[in-house]
Amino acid sequence: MLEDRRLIWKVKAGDAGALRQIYEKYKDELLTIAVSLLGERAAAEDILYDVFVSFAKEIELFQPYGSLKNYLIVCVVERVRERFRSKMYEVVGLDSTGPIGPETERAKERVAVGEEPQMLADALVRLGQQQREAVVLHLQGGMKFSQIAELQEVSISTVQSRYRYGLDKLRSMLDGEVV
Amino acid sequence: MKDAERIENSIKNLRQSTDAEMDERILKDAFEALEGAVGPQPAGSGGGIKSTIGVLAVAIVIVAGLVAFEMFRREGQQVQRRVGDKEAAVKAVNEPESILDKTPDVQEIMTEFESELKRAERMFGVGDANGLMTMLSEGQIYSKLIAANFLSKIGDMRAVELLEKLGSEWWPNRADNPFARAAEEIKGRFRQKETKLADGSKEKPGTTVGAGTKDGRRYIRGWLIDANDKPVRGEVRLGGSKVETTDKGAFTIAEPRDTEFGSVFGRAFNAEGDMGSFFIWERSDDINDVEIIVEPLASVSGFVEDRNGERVEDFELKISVYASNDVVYEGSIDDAPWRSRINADGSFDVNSVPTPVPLQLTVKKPGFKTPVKLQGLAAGRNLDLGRIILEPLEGFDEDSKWDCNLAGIVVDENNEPMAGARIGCIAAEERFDTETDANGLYEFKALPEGVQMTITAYFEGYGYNNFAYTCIEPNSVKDIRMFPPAYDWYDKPAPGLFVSKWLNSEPFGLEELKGKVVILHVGIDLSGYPRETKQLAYLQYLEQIKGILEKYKEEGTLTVIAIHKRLQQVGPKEDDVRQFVKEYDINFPFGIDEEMDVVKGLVSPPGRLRGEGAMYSLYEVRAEPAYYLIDKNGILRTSATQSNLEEWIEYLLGR
Repeated sequence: MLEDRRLIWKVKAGDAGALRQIYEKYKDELLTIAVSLLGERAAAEDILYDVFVSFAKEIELFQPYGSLKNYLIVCVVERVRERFRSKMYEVVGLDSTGPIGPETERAKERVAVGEEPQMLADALVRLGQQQREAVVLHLQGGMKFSQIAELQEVSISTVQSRYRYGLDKLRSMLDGEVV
Repeated sequence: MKDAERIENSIKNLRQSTDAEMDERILKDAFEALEGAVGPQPAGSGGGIKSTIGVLAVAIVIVAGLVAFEMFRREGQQVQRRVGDKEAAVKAVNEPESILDKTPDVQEIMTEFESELKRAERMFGVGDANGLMTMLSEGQIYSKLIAANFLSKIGDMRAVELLEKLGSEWWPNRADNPFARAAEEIKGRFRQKETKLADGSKEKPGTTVGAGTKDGRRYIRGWLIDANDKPVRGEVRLGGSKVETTDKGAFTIAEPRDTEFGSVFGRAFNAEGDMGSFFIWERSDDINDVEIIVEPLASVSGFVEDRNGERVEDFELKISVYASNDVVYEGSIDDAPWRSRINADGSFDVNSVPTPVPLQLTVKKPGFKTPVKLQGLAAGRNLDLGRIILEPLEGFDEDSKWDCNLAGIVVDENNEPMAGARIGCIAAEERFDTETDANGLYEFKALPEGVQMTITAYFEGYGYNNFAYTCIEPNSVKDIRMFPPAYDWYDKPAPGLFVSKWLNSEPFGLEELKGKVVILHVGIDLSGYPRETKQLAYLQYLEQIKGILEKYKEEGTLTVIAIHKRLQQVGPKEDDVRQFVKEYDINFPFGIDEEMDVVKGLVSPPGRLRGEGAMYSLYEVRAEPAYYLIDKNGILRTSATQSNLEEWIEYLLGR
C-alpha cells in the first residue's frame, strides 16, 4: 500500500520508471484475471493494454486511495463487462470449439499430459458472467467478498452464493469430463 | 472426484504471463500517455504534482470563446454590454465560420481572451474554485466558457447546478453544449472517484506468521520526506506505537500486531505539526525503506442549513476515514490533529486536515445527520463545501421532540428484580446506556418521542434481549422481564443432541449418559483458528471446563459435550476444528452442529431458527459461553453462567 502510494506519487510527477514498476508488479496478475474472465488471451492482452495506457493517461485524476491492485482489477472488470455488453465479442468456450461430454478418452488424455489448467479455464468461461466474476476475483484477484459485492452492487451473501454455485458448477463440469 | 478446495487451489494456480513484446508495446504507449498527461520530467525527480490543463479541452474552449467573444464585440457596438442576447449568440456559434471569416481584429480578441484565460489558469493553479465560480456566474460569455472548462477540471460539484442552467440558456440544442458537457464531466468524475474509492483499502493482508516472528514483531524502517524528497523531522504513529524521527527524518517503528490489521492507520507529522499525512499500513507492505510523504495540511469550510433554508448552529462535526462507500472507520483516529470551529452563523472551519486518505465529514445533531465525502481535498488548500443541508434521520423532522423519560423495572423469570442489568437504547443512531440499580430500576432521560428505538437488556447468563419500543408520551414506563436461554426446556428432559459430525468420538445420544451430570456447551466458534488462536474466546472457556473436569474426575459422573456452530463458507473448516481438538488435547466429545431444518418442529416461534445450527436454535443460544446443565436423570436444569457453573455442578453432583 505504502509502496504503491509512493509509486503513484512518482508517476504523477512524470516518473516513467515508477510506471514501469507498477506495470511489472501487477501485469501478470491482471492478465490472468482478464484471461479467466474472457476466456481468450488476445482480447485479454488488449484489455491489459487499455488499462495501463488509460491509467497513465489519466494519472492526474487518480486519487491514491485504497489499494492500487484492486483499483486496477476493477478497471479490468469494467472493460471486460464493456466487451460483453458491446456484443461484438462472443465468449469462446468449449461449446463452440469442439465436442465435449462423451469424449472422455480425450479428456483423460489431457489430464494425463497435464492439460488440466486448460480444462479449468474452459470450464470457467462457461460459467455465468457474475459467477465467474465472483470466483475469479476472489481466488485470483484476492478480493474479499465484500469488495466484490460492492463491485457487483449486490449483497455480500449474494456474492457468496454466486461463488459457491460457481464452484459447484465447475465441479460438476470437471467431474463430468474426467470421470 | 474433485472437491471444492482442490478446484479453488487450481484456479488460484492458473497463471498467465505477458511476453516481452507485449510489455514493450504497452509500456511504450503508456509512457507516451504519461508524458502527454504530465509532461516530460526526468525520471526520479521530485517536485509537486504539476497542474496541467487538458490541452484539447482548452482548445475547444478557445474556439467557442472566440466565436462568442467576437459576437459580443459586434453586438456591443449597437447594444452596450447586453450580456443576454442569446439568440444572436446561438446563431453565431451554430455558424462559426461565417463569423470568424468576418473577424476584423483577431489579435485584439486573442489578447482579451488570453488575459481572461490566464486569470482563470491562475485561479485554477491555486485551487480557487470560488473565484472560478464568480467568473462563471458573473463573467462575460467567453469568461463563463473559460470558467466552465477549469471548473470541470477541478471537479467542483457546486458548479454543476449553474452549469446546467447555463447549458439550458445557451445553445440548448447543441449536442456538444460546452456548459452541459462541463457539468457532465464533473458528475462523471465524481462517479469515477466513487468507483476508485470503492476499491476497499481495508483489505486484510495475508497474515502468514513465519518462523522466528511468532511472538516477536517486525520493525518498519523508513523516512519522513516532503514533496520535494527532502527529509522532514517529525513524528510517526502506527497502531499503538509512536516514535520521533531523527533530524534526518529516519524512523524505526514496530509493525502493528496481526489482530490490528484491517484498520491500522498511521499518522506522520513534521515537528511543527503543519505538515502531515495519514497512511494505511498493510502487512504486505515492504518494511524496508518506507518513505512517507508529508504535505501541507488542508482545511475545510462550509455552512449548515436545515431543509427550510434556516441556518443551523447547534451541530457537531466529526471527521472519519472511509475505505469504501459504506465502510467508515469509526473512532479509530484518537487525538485527531484537526481543530474545528463552529460560528454563530452556522459556518464552520476545520483546520489541519491531512489529505492522502479519504475522509468523510459528518454534520450531526440529535435526529439529524449529513455525511459529506471530502472529495477534492488537496494538500495546503481549503476545500469549501458551501452549503450543507442537515438531513433528518428516518422518523425525524425539524419538529421532533427529545423529551421522553423512559423508566422501568427489570425482573427475571421468577419476577425477582435484577440489579446490575445493562440496558441500552439505540435511537437515531445514538446509543444510550445505563444499568439497573439495586432494586432493578432503570431510567433514560431525553429520548426522542414517536420514533421507534431498539432497547437491549443484558444480564450474565441471560444473554441479550432486544426489542423495539416507541415513546408516545413524555413519561413512559417499560418493564422488562428476562428469561434465561432454553427456559422453555427447564425441568424437562433435555431436547437431545443434533450433531452433523462427531470429531473425536462415535455418535451417541443423551440417553446413554443417564446417571451422569452433563455440561453441554453449544455455539462454540473457532473463527480465527489457527492464525489468531490467541484471540479465541473459547480458550478461556476450555480452560475453565478442563479445570472443572480435573477437579471432579474422581466422581466419574461429570461429562462435557462441546458443540461447534455450523461451518460456513468463511471461518474455520472441518479440518481446522479437528486440528484444534487434537492440538488442545480435548478428550470429551466434540461435535459440529446440525442444520437448523432438522429441529423445525421443535422450535417456536420459527424466528428462533438460526443458521448457526439446530442445537444453537433449539437451546436458544444468546451469548457466549452457552452452558447448559443436564442432571443425572437427563433433565435440563439450567443454563449456567461462567460464574455460577461450578456452584451448579456441585449441587447437581450432590456434594
